[in-house]
Amino acid sequence: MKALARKLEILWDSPNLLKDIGSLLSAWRIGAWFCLINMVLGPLMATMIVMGSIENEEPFVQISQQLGLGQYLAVNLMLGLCGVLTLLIPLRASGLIEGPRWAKYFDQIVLSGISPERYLAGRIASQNIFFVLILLASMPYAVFGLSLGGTKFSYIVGCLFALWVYANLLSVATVAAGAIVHETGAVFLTVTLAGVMFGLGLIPVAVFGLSPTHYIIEPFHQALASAGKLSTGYQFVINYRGATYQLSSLLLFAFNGGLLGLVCFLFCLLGPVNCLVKENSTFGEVVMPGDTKRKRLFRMRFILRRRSEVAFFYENRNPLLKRWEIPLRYLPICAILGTTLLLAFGVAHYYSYELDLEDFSGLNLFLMCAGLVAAAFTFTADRMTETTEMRCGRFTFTKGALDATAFLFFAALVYAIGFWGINMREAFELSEQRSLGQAETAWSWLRSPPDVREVAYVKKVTKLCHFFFLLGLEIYALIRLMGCQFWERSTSVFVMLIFLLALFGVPLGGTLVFFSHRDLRHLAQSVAFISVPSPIPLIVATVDDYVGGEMGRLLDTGWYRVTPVFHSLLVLTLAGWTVFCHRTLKRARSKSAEEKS
Amino acid sequence: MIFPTRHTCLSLLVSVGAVLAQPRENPKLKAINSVGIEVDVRCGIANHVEEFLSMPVTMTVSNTTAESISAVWEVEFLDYANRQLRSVRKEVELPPNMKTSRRTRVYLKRQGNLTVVRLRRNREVLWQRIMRWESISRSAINILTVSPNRERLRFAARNDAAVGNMPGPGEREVRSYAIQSWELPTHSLPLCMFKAVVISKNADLSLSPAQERALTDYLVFGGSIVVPGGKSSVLELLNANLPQAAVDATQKASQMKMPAPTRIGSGMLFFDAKDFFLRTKISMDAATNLAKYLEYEAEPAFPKFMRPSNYVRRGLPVNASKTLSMVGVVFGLYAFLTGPVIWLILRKKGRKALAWYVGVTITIFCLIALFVGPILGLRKGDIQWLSVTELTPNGGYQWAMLSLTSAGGKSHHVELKGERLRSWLLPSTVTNDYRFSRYWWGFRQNLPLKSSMNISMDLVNEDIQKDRHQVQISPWGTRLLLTNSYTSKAGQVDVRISHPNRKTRIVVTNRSKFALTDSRIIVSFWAKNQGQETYVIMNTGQFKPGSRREFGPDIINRQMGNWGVRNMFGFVRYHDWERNGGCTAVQLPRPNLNNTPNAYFIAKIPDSPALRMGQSNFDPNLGTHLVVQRIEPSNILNPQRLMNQKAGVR
Repeated sequence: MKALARKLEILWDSPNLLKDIGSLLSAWRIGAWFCLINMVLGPLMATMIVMGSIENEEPFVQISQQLGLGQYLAVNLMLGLCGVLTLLIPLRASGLIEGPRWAKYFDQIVLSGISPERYLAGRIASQNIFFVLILLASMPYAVFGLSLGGTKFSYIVGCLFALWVYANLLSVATVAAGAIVHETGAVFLTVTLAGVMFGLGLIPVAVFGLSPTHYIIEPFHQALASAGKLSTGYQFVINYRGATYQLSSLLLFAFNGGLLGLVCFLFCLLGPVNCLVKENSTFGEVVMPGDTKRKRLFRMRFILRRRSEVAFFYENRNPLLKRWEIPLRYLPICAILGTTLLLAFGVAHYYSYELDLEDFSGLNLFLMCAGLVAAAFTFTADRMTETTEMRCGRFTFTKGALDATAFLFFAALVYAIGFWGINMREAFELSEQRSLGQAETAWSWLRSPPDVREVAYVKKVTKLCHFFFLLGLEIYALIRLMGCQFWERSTSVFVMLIFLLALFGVPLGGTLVFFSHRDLRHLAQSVAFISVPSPIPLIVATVDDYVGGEMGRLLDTGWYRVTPVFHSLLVLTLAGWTVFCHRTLKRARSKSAEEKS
Repeated sequence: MIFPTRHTCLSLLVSVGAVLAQPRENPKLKAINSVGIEVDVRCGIANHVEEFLSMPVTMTVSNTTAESISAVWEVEFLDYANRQLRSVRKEVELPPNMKTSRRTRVYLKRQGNLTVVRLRRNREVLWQRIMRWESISRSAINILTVSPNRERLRFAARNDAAVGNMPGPGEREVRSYAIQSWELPTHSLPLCMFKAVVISKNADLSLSPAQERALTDYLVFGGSIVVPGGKSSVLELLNANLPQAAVDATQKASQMKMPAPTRIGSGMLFFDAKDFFLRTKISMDAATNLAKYLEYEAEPAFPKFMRPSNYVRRGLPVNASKTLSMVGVVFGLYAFLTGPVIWLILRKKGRKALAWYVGVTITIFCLIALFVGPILGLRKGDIQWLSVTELTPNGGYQWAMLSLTSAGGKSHHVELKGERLRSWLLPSTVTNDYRFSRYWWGFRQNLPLKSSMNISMDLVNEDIQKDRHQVQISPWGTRLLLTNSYTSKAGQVDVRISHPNRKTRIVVTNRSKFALTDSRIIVSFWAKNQGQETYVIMNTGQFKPGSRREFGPDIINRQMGNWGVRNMFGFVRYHDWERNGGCTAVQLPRPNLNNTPNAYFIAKIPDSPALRMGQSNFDPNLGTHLVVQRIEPSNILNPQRLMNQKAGVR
């Protein structure tokens, strides 16, 4: 406990916290913040009162009538506060790295030896003062809502707790994102994601209980549900052994938000993956081979320079973090990605029996593709980090190898779940038909054709599962190959997308042109084989029995049957090529390390 | 021997009920009105008795006497199945000065009709009540008389049209049930089975507080009480439990020469100068009024909840907009004092001074806001009484009643809304202008609310697992939430729609739980026009509750044929023909698990459909190509014949 208290004392001693307290509590800033809060909340409350009092059938009127004006205004107030926090907290949390860099004293911060956690935690802690300031400004509005009646004090307290968790989550997420990507992008990313979650939380679906707005707007949902305008799907209910348990959306958000906040804080401590290679190891100066012959404009590499500077800054972190970097970095990512995937598949399966077989299969395949693509984009590296060595205790692995392992694990997981889902549904359909068939044998003549059709359809979808898994591997191999070629991951992804478009779209389009043009149609059969790289004819042919038009004519040629073989070979080639590039980079790195030593 | 159906049993019971209503004089038992024992008996769970469940009878008793009592609970009931009077006994030991009540519960087997509950100590009857369940016909006008000699109303015994305004043959029958005053129940629930309680001039009204309360509640909930005119002990008893406004009204009315009927709560108080029991004709004043009222106006009372006024949420009055502008000014001032003033004027002040300024300003405005709310929330003509009463036997009609009393004599804009969960499309007959949809019912109207009002609704009870009603009363913000939830023992219906065309995407399974009582099931689907003409065959199956096993061929009620096309379409409301193509709805009556053949429907839809289960919206007036008819099993076994028949080939 004493060690923890000492740690917290050090964090409290952060220069950023002292600086922020000084700036936040100055008169003009307090006035500005109060002005801003009143400008947001005052008109919002006035508008809501007007909307809630016009005598018609609008939902606002109904809600205000059912909840009572006090509760109605309290909900709107809390939503307004949540919106203000969503916009202001990320903005305030930014500037930790870019500010000193622009003012050209970031090197002094790095050389001072200050640990990243101490430097960053000050800004995170100072958000609480800002939060209190916002609460103070909004207090008369809250009291007004309470005095009108209908508002539960516990609701107000619950909302404030949710907003406090939210504010801290936002600040720590912005800081963590700012350490990994450029801070402008980090703010944009955080505000966008938080805005999306803000909006999703308003939707009366239980899954979106991850957003604080879900708890805040719950009285509205309750009012609409009691008026019969809404189902009770906004409640997170667990059925266990026949008993039903309803989870509080506040606790749900607090738990998830807290967990996510901890993960973000962990990434604040870890920082970006170390990217110090030969080309940028002179403290930020990125000098590539052949730069002396290039013009000045082409020698400016802002992004690489920023990354190397931040990497130098994170050299000051706790050595223990470096020693256990692999589990600390990969486990949270795997947990988040895995939970998201399982949640998505779980929801799909939960509602699967409300969908018919085809819709469910489509959804299952979509989730499978989304899972594969998400895993492919998450576990990838660029040329700077491809051969970065990471440690897990005494063991050392390169990032490239770790990424490949993690991706294969996730790809297998997604493939297994998708495959299992389709077959579970098939088993369900068959058992249903069997049970019905036993009861009413007279109906067997009628039901047998659909049986055959459904079983055949499931087989087709199962084939597609295999094929999509293959495509996922192919995309990943391509991303990794491009990552070995380019210094920036975004560049490699962009090039990969162009390559995929060229591979999948252009030959297909060209072939279809031959089919559609009357003068060229006699050549179409001969050139149809160039559409082999495109998976689209195969997918279309699998999903639909009959396709007309040019695509139908192309399918008649039967070339698409070769496509899986082609893609299997392509995957093997790309994977081999990637391994070759990885080894080359590794050799170069070890060579430069030897030179240094 | 012909097994008696439920209907005959009920009819029999109705006739027997009148006889049983007369407490049998058992010479071995001595009835005493024991002081110091508080007894309350309730039947069923939340006033619902499931037919296929055993019926709980909960008896609560407390003994405040100084002596220990060892007694026996005795429940006599009529067994439907055996048509025998049976009894259940349970011993109970009541220690002296028992402040907390002791609860005993016995479960009667299904289809029991409770007749008498008594607490007996040897041969002394310490407490006894007549309890009836379902035995009292709702089609008749039931009147309970309270008199020393258990006299029945004389005019009620007659049944000819010549007597005043009373119904003639074929019209509603008047039935009279007589008790002594000590037999009055301690809860208003049993009383609400009667349209009126007539209390004799000579009745001994030394009732327990619970009995007094029950009588008053019955009146407020919508019951009718006939009391002797002038000063009487009945009136004093009622006045002691009624609010002052009602007391004034009753006093005023009772002093009139020809006392007028007086509305108390949602009920009606009648005064009669003479003893009502002696009348052989009711062509005169109060009796005529009573008869008219009972026949044409009075709704059955059934208490469910009575909410005190503090439950009603405060809201803004209708004319709050003027006050709201003041609120705007207050908050504008707050925004000015905490924004520009700090920013521009106080910027050179120290941090301490600033903190004081901010703290004090916010505190002051918080205090102002604290008082603004109640000022806005105050309104005149507050609702003093508010009760919603309803009767919900599972599978039948439902009456809901709202009773309001306004202290300030102010007209209220009254809006009632109801919500149904898991309900099916069935029409409702709310006795006012109303709008009905699947999920809610209600109406809105301006009602002069000087003293009280009474709104009643007949709602078709639906096959619902959970029923929740909400009543909302404007001015806005005022709300009363009445929640009545119950779960019935549920079966499961499995509907599949399939047809032989393999290109068409159907085979839809929909499972719906339903109550195994007087349930009705509506199965509906809609179809899109996408291909060629085809037949859609809809089959319903029923699962045994709690299991996945089907019942095999014994699935659908044999009355399916009676519920033909007419009834099917009768309950379907709206149809967007252009978009949806065709639809059908099938209403199945209460499923009968015994000796019933299977039944099928074949729907002929002009174009090949992609079927999805949905709630049907259909208007038969718009016309449809959809044909739904019952197919004989012989045709089902011969599909070619069926197709030929459909195609008109012989």
